[in-house]
Amino acid sequence: MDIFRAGVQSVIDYVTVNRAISLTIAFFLSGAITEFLSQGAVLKYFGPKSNKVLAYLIASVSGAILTVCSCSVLPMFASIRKKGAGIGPAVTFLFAGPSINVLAIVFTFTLVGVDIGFVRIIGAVILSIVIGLIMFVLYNKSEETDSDSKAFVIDDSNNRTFIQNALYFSTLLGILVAHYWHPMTRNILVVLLFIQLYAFFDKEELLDWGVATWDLAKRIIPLFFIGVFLAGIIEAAISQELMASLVGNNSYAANLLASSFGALMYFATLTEVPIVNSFLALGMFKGPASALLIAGPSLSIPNMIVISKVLGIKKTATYISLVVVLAAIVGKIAGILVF
Amino acid sequence: MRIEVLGTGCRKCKKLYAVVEKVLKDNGIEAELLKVEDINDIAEYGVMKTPALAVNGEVVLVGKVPSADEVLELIKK
Repeated sequence: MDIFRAGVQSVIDYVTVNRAISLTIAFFLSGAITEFLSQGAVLKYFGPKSNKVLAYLIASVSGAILTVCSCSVLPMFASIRKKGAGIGPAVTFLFAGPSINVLAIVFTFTLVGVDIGFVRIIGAVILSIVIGLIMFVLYNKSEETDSDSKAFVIDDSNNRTFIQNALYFSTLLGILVAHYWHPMTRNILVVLLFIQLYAFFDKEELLDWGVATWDLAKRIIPLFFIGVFLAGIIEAAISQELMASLVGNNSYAANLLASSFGALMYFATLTEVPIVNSFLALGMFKGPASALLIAGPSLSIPNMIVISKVLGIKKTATYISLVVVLAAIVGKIAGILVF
Repeated sequence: MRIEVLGTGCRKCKKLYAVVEKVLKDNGIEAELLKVEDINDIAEYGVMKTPALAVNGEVVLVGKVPSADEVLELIKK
């Protein structure tokens, strides 16, 4: 019963007005990304004849734009590999996507902290390119592809100019950032946002935006609260001695243990954030925590099974080992340099 | 006519299947309605975002659940 109470308490502690507001803004931003950001503008870089350097670079950051919904990660991965830029950029995309979407970043920054937030983003981006390149070098020859440029031409542009869209998205992002640091700036930006909504959008688009935001919130918020609840239980059930003895330092073993745990555990979208936070409260060192956050969202046992259907057992095993080992190394390096 | 709903089984994919099923029934259209759930088969169609709808092997809609009217329009063509 005490353990249950710890879970409930952790949910109550989490919900502050400040956090609720920034999460609301983050959901609206994600809704706007799904609804108004042209995916065609990004996908064209993954075609079979695309510039390979650009394909890797864009794959490493495009998760922020393309993968608000996890149901599009695997089809995109499979298509990029088979019809487009090939296994390297496809793997880069597969790995980076879930780690750097807007909601994951906002949750990490507001709950765990700015330093781990940055390590998570930068670590995931660099690692995704490294892993993509290694997979390309090892396996490109054995790949059977069937390129199809048409699949990467998607016309989903809207009736706003590039400048208008850029202004709209930077205003939303600005509100999110300013909310913590400068409430006055935030208020000015909110006014600016409403002017833009009035000038650039029609009623139906605004309604679609609301629906998209609501759909996301409805799907993610319950899972997130389950995560916060479990985090409270973990904090009550695991002893500090145990946590400290396993991952309380920045050794290779501690980082490797954390990244393997992250890879095998199934974290429903974004629940990894509160759980890592409670590990930290119990004495986990920040290096292993970063390793867990980097390896965690991209891999889980159910998702390994799906990936192996696309890639085959051998390539999947290579991919998983690369993720686990390299995430541990990133955690180790971050532990030395940053924390 | 062969109509395929492409999707790995997410919520929207089930919704799309239900909408198409209803449109066929309400309008008395004779068609073969199939689910394509294997990720490799979906990639064969070059579909990036699920759910998607294919009519006679040609992809006509990607990444959203349309209204019943839109579905009817797409099928008629």
